[in-house]
Amino acid sequence: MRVVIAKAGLDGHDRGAKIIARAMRDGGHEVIYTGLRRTPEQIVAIARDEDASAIGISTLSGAHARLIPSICQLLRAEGMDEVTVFVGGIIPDIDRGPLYDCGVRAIFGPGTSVNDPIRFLENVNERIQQNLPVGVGQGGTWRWS
Amino acid sequence: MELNSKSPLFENAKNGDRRSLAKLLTRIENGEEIDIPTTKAPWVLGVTGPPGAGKSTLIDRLASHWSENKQRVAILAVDPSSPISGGALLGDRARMVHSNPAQVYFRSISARGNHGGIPNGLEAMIQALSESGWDRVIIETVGVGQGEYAVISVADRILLVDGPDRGDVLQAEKAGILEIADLIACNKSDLPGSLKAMKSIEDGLSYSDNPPPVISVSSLTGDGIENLVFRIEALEPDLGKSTARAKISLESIMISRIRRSPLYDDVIQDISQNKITSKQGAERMEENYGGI
Ligand code: B12
Ligand SMILES: Nc1nc2c(ncn2[C@@H]2O[C@H](COP(=O)(O)OP(=O)(O)OP(=O)(O)O)[C@@H](O)[C@H]2O)c(=O)[nH]1
Ligand SMILES: [Mg+2]
Repeated sequence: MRVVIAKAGLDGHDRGAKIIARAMRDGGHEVIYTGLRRTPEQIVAIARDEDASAIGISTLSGAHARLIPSICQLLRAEGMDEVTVFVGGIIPDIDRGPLYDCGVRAIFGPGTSVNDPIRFLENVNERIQQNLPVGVGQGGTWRWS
Repeated sequence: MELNSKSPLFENAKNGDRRSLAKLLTRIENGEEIDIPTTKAPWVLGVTGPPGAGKSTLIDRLASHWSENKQRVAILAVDPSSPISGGALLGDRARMVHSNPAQVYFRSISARGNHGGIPNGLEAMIQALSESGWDRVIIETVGVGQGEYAVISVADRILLVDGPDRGDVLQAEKAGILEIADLIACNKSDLPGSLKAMKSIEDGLSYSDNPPPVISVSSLTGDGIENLVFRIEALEPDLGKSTARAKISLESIMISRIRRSPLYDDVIQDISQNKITSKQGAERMEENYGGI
């Protein structure tokens, strides 16, 4: 799969994102790392230009509640409904519901084993084969747990 | 379905739809042939040089310069793939901080095991970009092994990026690459060792008949970039290739073709399982495909 790993906003914590990016490469994926401090608009443009099937967003700064819904909305506005969005970093439990509601399919917190996001992508792939919804604009209530 | 000039993907890409362009390039990358007439020779700059020399950072500067001057710039950045998993970490994009992603088209490409030459379809991707209105196409090579040279087979202007902090600017095997460059950027002029690096590159060129200009730049501060752009603009596309270039160009295309042959994997397996010798393997490939 072609996967974009993105750092949004002013958040400079990039260790987790880099670990995940490397793990996904070792899981056989083509991973595009955006680098730090990208705006939601830039992240969507990057996913579009790279023809990515999935975007993994890493946030530890507390700005997730603003940035992630904005990315999801822009993706739908661009007609990129089939792109899968997943999130990692520090996301308090109470903030998770609203993120799922805007189309996020998985959230991975601190201490995540690097195998989990890889298994998640495998599951996404299986669902694509079966024509089941996985994308940010494809509806359904499926989420990874 | 064949991709041709009537395909909706190509038509939309030509009308500026970036999503269609991206999907078109994916299909080419995955092995589909395109049949689009060439209406103009593409403008292609190949940027090569050792890992970490600053190729991506420099490309960011060039792209931002040209796009500010209303040129449409597309970048194809090739990174190696993992021989074990087949995956790839494509990190060149992280260096794009000055160029505006709304204007510049940037595409990361995995070498997909094709370390010996150019990734499959790279030439067709360049053509698709050029024919859909991208004035300048910049290729970043993997920077190691044959990939460093093979870019000659798809780019008619070659910029070599080198610099200090490598300690061994002039390794013996680098002599060849110095000579195939049209221009050499000695990057990181902001660092202390840069004068020494310039000198060492110039020494390495002292035996060549027609040495390329060496230009000192800093992609970090932007120093010298204007001068470099000016030199790039002044390059005459290399129509009559030098013998050295013609050789590399032909050989790298042959290597890519051999690897793309449907027999390749089978023959490799038979050789590795000792069923046939390497020579017999080569003969089998020649019989079936005339060498390709
Ligand atoms: C190291 C660290 C730093 C380093 C960062 C170095 C770097 N280049 O990354 C430095 C010292 C620079 C730093 C600075 C700051 N930090 Co700090 N930092 C931390 C710390 C201690 C560890 C983070 C870390 O690297 N963990 C190790 C990695 C591997 O784990 P991870 O990032 O969580 O990633 C894992 C998972 O979350 C998940 N994951 C993460 N991303 C992704 C993405 C995807 C797609 C997937 C699938 C999974 C995934 O998988 C990873 C592997 O398990 C945390 C506290 C903590 N325990 O988390 C605070 C913490 C994140 N920092 C914090 C703060 C406040 C700051 C500063 C603002 C401090 C200040 N006042 O100056 C600055 C801001 C810097 C900036 N510009 O953003 C707060 C954030 C509070 C909040 N969210 O509300 C924390 C939580 C500390 C705290 N308890 O207050 N920090
Ligand atoms: N001081 C200084 N550092 C630079 C300069 N140009 C690039 N760098 C740094 O050198 C490192 C490598 O830069 P890249 O642009 O990624 O180099 P590259 O040749 O594209 O590397 P690969 O794609 O990995 O082969 C980064 O840390 C850059 O910030 C420069 O002019 N001066
Ligand atoms: Mg690079």
